[in-house]
Amino acid sequence: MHIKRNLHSIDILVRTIIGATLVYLSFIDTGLFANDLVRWLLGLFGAINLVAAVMRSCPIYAMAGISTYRSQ
Amino acid sequence: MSLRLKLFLGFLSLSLTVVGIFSVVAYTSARDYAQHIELQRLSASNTHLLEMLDEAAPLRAQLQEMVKHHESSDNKFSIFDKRTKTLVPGGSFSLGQHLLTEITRPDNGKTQLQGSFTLGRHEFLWVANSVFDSPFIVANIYQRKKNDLKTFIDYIGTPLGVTLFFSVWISVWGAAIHANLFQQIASKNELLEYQSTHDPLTRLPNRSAIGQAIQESVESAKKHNKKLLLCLLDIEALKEVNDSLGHESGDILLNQITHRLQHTLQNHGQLGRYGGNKFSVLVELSDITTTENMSMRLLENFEPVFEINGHSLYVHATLGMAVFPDHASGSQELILKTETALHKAKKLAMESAVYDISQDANSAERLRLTHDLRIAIQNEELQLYFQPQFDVRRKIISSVEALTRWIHPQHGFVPPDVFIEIAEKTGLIQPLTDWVLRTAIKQCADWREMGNQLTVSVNLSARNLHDEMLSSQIANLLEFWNVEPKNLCLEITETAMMADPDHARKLLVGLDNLGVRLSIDDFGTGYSSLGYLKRLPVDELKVDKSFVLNMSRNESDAAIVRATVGLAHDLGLEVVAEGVEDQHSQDELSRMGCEYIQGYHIARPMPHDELSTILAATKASNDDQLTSSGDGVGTGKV
Repeated sequence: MHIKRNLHSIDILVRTIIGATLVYLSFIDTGLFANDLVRWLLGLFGAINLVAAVMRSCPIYAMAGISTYRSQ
Repeated sequence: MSLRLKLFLGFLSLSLTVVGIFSVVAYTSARDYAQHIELQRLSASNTHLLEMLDEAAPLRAQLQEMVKHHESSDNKFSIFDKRTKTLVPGGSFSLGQHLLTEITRPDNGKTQLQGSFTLGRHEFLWVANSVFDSPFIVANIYQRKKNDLKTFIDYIGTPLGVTLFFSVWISVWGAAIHANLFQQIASKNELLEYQSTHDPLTRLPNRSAIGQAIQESVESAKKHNKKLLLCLLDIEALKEVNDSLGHESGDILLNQITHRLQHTLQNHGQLGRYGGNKFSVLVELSDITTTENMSMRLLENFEPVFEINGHSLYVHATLGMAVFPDHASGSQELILKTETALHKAKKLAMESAVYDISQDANSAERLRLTHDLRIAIQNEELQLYFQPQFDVRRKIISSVEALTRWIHPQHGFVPPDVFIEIAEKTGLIQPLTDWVLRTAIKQCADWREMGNQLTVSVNLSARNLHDEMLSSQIANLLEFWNVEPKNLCLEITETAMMADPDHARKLLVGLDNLGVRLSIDDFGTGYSSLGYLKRLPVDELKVDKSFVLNMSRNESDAAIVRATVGLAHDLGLEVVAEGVEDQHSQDELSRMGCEYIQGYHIARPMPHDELSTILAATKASNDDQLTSSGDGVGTGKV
């Protein structure tokens, strides 16, 4: 299935930074978050953002009918 | 506020409320749980102390030594002696006093008691333990910390913040997704609504939307005492354009007309596509916008040529107009009256027409007449009058024309052209003709009984020419009343005959075979083909009265009558002249060789009994005398 791009380059960059930071803090350098559940939740959130950045498409944007790509 | 913002705020407040409730529940649960744990800890300390105590009351120093390891700044011990019901010195005496009454109550045999009390601004929790074989009760009094909430937030702060973040995050996206969904549904509904109320080609409101708009405008006009003008424009050429140039060209024409009308109206009036080739315009009447003005403005759109796919077309439009409240009291009535006006304009080949009640052929009055005519035919309430025809050569009344008369119970005399037209349009002509034939043939038989051999003429309508049973029905009637076929004459108008000449000829041949006389009525008013005429098995021609009436004053009419008589004779037909109203015409017709004359100069149409009386009188007198004196039926001329 063809996935339609809906992320602007800046959007992708922001998601990459947030995603990578959260994944790093949640799964690699785990000292910051004492609570495991919180760690996993933030890690998942970061991973979703990373996946969206790689795919250049956000499924929630698609559902909400939003696209930052068009305004580029 | 936009739907997106509303949903966003709704979702956000919902998520914050949930987070808030969750925080309060978590805080109270955590506090209760912490208290439960603390009490367990205190109870364990109490039990430990109890185990250390002997039967004898400990000395103050001993006791202080014992509790030293268990006490802290916010957690004090008091020891009670069950036997003396007093506080053992060495513990926290001041705080212990608050528990003394409660703990040493005689009915209080429990091994563990707990409670709380407030001292000044401090809240104290306590737990007291005793064992069966010890005379002491040890109570641990714990001062609740004021900074419980701070501790809780310090402890749960991060997870709560993360939860709050996710909650808000989900809310925002939930709002966005829902907003998008609702927007899609709304735009679909909007599209459906638009499609159901607009014509897809011209994008103008369609008939149902026009009806709604008229209804609303009428309601508003009623309130504000204003006048509304409804116009219907009929584009007759559309069908021809569709047929000859294709539907695509027809569509282009409709769009061009729409564009021109919109340009004319600007925003002062509601334009709609009322039907296939009809446009409607609804405007408020004012000093500037009058019916004449609107008519002119709308119709001048059709003066310039329409350029369609390389063809230059002149398109003719017909306009019908009606005004609220002058012509109608409601929206439906206004539409109906406008349609009537349009119908009238088309019928009279006018460019435009305003509704006129006096010419409304579809009025309730006319509907009532139709109903009454049906009843009158069923109940045989119509009357048959007979107008004599004078045989010029034999100078006698040789035949009569049967004419239907309707005296309405309420309206009185209804003109024959009115009710015959109604009968022809509503299918009542057939039962009406049946009744006329029955009555006329019976009357013919009656006169024969009286000794008068009269030929009775009956008019047939164009509709009767399609009645396959007519010949056999006439044959049966003639046989039943024992009337000779030659004594029945059937008159068919030239126009009716020429509408479908082949069919007419077939029917006339059948009737001719019966032996009945056949006559062409109103000759000269239609477009008879002489080629057909010579092939028709007719016996006589009736010259239309319009020529006969004026023949004494107008030489052209006299020439037409003369030519008709000559033509008829050359074809071997006899001639009846209608509309003879003076002696001069009668003499002139006699000179021309016309066989029969009919008109007010001879006699008016009359009921059968009146005619019977005259026939009886004339039979007794001399025929010559009858034709030489008098000027009417009652005076003995006929």
